[in-house]
Amino acid sequence: MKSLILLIQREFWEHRATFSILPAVIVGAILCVMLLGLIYAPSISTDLGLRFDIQIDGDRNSEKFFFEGQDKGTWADIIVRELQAIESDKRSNYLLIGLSSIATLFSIVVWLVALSFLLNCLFNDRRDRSVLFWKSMPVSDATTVLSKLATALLALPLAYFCGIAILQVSWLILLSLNTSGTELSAWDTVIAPAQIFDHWLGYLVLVLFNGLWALPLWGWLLAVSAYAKSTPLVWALGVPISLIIAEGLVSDGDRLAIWIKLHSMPLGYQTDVVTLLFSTEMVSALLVGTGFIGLAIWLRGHADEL
Amino acid sequence: MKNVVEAQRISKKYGNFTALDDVSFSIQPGAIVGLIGPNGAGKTTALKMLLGLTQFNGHLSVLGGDPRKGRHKVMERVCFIADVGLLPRWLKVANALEYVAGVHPKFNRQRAEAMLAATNIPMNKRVKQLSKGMVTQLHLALVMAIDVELLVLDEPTLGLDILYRKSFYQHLLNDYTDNQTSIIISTHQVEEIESLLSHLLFIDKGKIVLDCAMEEIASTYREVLVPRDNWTRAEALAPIYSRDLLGKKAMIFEQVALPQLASLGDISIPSVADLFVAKMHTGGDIK
Repeated sequence: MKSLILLIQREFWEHRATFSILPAVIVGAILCVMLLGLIYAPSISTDLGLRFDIQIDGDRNSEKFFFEGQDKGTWADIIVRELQAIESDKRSNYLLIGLSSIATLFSIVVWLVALSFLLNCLFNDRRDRSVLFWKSMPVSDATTVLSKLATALLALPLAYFCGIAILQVSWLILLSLNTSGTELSAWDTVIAPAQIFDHWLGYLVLVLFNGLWALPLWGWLLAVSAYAKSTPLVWALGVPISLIIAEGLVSDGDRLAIWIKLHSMPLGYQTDVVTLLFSTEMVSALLVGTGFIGLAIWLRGHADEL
Repeated sequence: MKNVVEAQRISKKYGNFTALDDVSFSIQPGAIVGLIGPNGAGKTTALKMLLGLTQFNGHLSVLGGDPRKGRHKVMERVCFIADVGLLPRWLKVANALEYVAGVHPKFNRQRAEAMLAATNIPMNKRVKQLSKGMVTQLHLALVMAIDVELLVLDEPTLGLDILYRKSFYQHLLNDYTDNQTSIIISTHQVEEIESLLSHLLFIDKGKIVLDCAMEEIASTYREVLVPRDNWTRAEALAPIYSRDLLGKKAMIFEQVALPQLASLGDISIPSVADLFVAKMHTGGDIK
């Protein structure tokens, strides 16, 4: 366990730019925009004849919000007024729009970073011959491969989660500050309905779930990374695309194509995690994913440097 | 005591190219073995095989285990330095220490830090910012601080200047020759390691062409500086190699009795480099 943590740490040393600096830059940029929106644009107006319809599909209920005309002030003024104007039980869903936008943005970035990391991690060290150094240490191939997986599926989303949390808390604080002088308190308007801990728990559960749900994808990328002699991306895309085309040629069905697509994309916030966790879909993903990971470990053991 | 390495009938092919062809050899505890051969002879393949870094056919035991099956177990007792450039370029010096300290149970961090302190390698620099010599020194400091039973060195001083090379081998002598660590070292700069070695392995075209303890060299091989008058008589004794030297011929004989050679000219023990050239010329008759 101790060496697994060190191996994950080693990935953060190597990929500092995408694992640590990139989320920090995104946080910084969005914070700047938020603050600039308060300082330099004190009276943006939505009085442009525009009407935004936003619909949130919650678990059971569906909410519609309309943002319409005549509001003046900073973005925070407008949101606070909207919040105070709607019934208190709808504030949670309203705030969820903002909170989940932030989380979704980071989730997309972390997904892309994880894809690129897993596709290249076992390939790059063969290309620069440092694989001989890593392999000259008493670390088994299985530990190496599993450390890459744990990095992409756990450590990386957690690192990005820090960015999400900072931005969401900042957003809520800026909103709260804007409630001063209004009749309702910051607690009732923003803090309580945000249900931030529930939201965070949801994110973390989703991270774990997507790690398992897309296990075939992660395992496949690792196997390709351990095997490819050049351009792992071509292998990673080429084989599944060929399979999909082949399936279309030999049969009318598209079961394989649907399965591949289904397990190559993360599921979003509206996922019913509990039901899917015990579905045959999940079992098939775990079996195929484990197979690919085993293959990646075997290939890593047999791979020469390039 | 059991042999550190026991290799029997090892073969390795890369496609159509035979890198190792039915090779057998063994390394005794405490031996310092020079693995010497021209480029492409199979030296690196042989060393990588010992480390479980490549697949092959045949029987191999390193410290009692098969490196193909449990590389990470073998690596607790074996260390490896290759020609410069194996350390990942992004790795910081301080992180390299932290990493090895974390994964290697026999790493002595204080010792590595002391060795680094004697160099001018800064702890906060990355490998890519270091000179070639510094990278080797860093790798050396990491490896030398590990208490191992077998040290595998593949062209460790390639591309380094003479000062580094001298101090490298000085280190090696000081640190290892008084204990039971076995060393196998490949190079083609034979002269530099000659005084260090206890055993010679010559390899050419994937075959072992000489497997001999250093002390046997003196009793088996003789170099005679033969003047022109004695050339015919000398040729009759079938020298394995002959070269022109100041109007005479320096001939190397293998297992020819001393009295027979004495009348031909001045006798000396051939240097490892000359012996190497001789063996490469004969195309390899296995002793």
